[in-house]
Amino acid sequence: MESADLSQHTSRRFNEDMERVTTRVLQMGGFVEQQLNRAVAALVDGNSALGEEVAREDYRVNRMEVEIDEECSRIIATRQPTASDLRVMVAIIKTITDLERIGDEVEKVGNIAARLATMEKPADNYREIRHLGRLVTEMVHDALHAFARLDADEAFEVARRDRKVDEEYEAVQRQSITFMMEDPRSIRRALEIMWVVRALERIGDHAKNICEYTVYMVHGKDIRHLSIEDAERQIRDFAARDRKGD
Amino acid sequence: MNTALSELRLHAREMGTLVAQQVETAVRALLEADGEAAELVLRREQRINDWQTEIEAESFRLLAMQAPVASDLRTVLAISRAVTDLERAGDEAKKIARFALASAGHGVGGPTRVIRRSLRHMANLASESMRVAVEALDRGDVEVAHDVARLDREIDQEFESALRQLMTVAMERAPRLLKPVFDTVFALKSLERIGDHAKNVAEHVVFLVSGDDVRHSGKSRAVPARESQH
Repeated sequence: MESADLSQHTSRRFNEDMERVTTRVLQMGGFVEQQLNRAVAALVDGNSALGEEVAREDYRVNRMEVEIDEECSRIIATRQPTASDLRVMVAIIKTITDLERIGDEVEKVGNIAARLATMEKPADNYREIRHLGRLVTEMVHDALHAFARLDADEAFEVARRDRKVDEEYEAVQRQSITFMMEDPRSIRRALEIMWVVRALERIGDHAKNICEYTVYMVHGKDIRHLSIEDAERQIRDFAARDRKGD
Repeated sequence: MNTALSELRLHAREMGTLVAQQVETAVRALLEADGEAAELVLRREQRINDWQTEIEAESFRLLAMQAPVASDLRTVLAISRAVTDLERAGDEAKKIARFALASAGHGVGGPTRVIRRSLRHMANLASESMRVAVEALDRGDVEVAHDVARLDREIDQEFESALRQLMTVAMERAPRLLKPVFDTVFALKSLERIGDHAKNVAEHVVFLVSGDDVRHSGKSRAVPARESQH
């Protein structure tokens, strides 16, 4: 009797801890998203002060990661969560690692935006980059939404978009090379733009990782090294078997 | 608990050693236009992914069943984080191998030839830093973390100088070279990132031993450090 009370008590405390941590992860995600938007805006508008500011602010993302990480370690050590709760903790720790790396990529974009501000803008006024920036910003936003609601279906949908990002990335790369062939003086600028495009592509990868952790949280299945289609099929089969078992 | 922990450390070390080999083989494939070596790297990539899955499952079992505390808990967490970096470093080696495989048919490309010494030097430094970092992880040796940071700076310098050389090539020679120039730039970039991942692993070692999170100590100043220019 007494031990049952105690375990309920512990689990209530654990739930409170979890809610607090989840809120902080979402705050961190919200800030990262804002940084990403501002970095792309700095580039497109040629606003070097904004680019520098975004890069300078990355320390806040880093600080949030360390704080949440410490909080998670503390929870694991003091609450000794059950296996399924532990799975959630692991997913959170991984999610903030990816958010922090998104922050690093954004910092790079900010620095490059500051450097490019003084140079002549490309003829297409960064149309492709704006498009790619929008795609990955939405991915980050929706990945966090799926994470917050433990929505594996949405997570799958978002993860699938990464392929589109990869295709766009390839296209912009080819296009930059064509521009450079036409005007070799633009090589410096084009190289900088390529790093931006690459950073955006990586942000898409990180958003996809976050989706994979959400699936792991919900279904307890590690799908990272599977294609999205195989992963979805396996999860469906898994769920069907579960239902039969009931 | 002790046996399980030392198993875990050993496995992380084996995974890291495999990553270091991947880096060496991938760059050799590129420098010698050796398609078979490139294919070997691509095949072995699966083993790195398997290691990641295996080590993370082991860590999870440890956390769930043994509820480690204090330094044991830190060891498990540090290794889980290190494994993520090892896997990403492995991914970079795979990218180099893909480039090597795609270009193997036409012999060693011009841009690659121009910076072959830099590529070889960076590959040596990157694989060494990876080996040193996972050895430190296994032994919990903080001192070595400084060596890894030094190696990383060397890699960054070599990266900058090779990049300058490639840009000169791009501007002076025929524009048809641009595609291979940029493929080579990305191979360089992959090596540079492998150095970063090794440095991350070394930082996880510091956390493991001292409990201090030093991951962002260089970057958390008001003025951002100069390290992430690209």
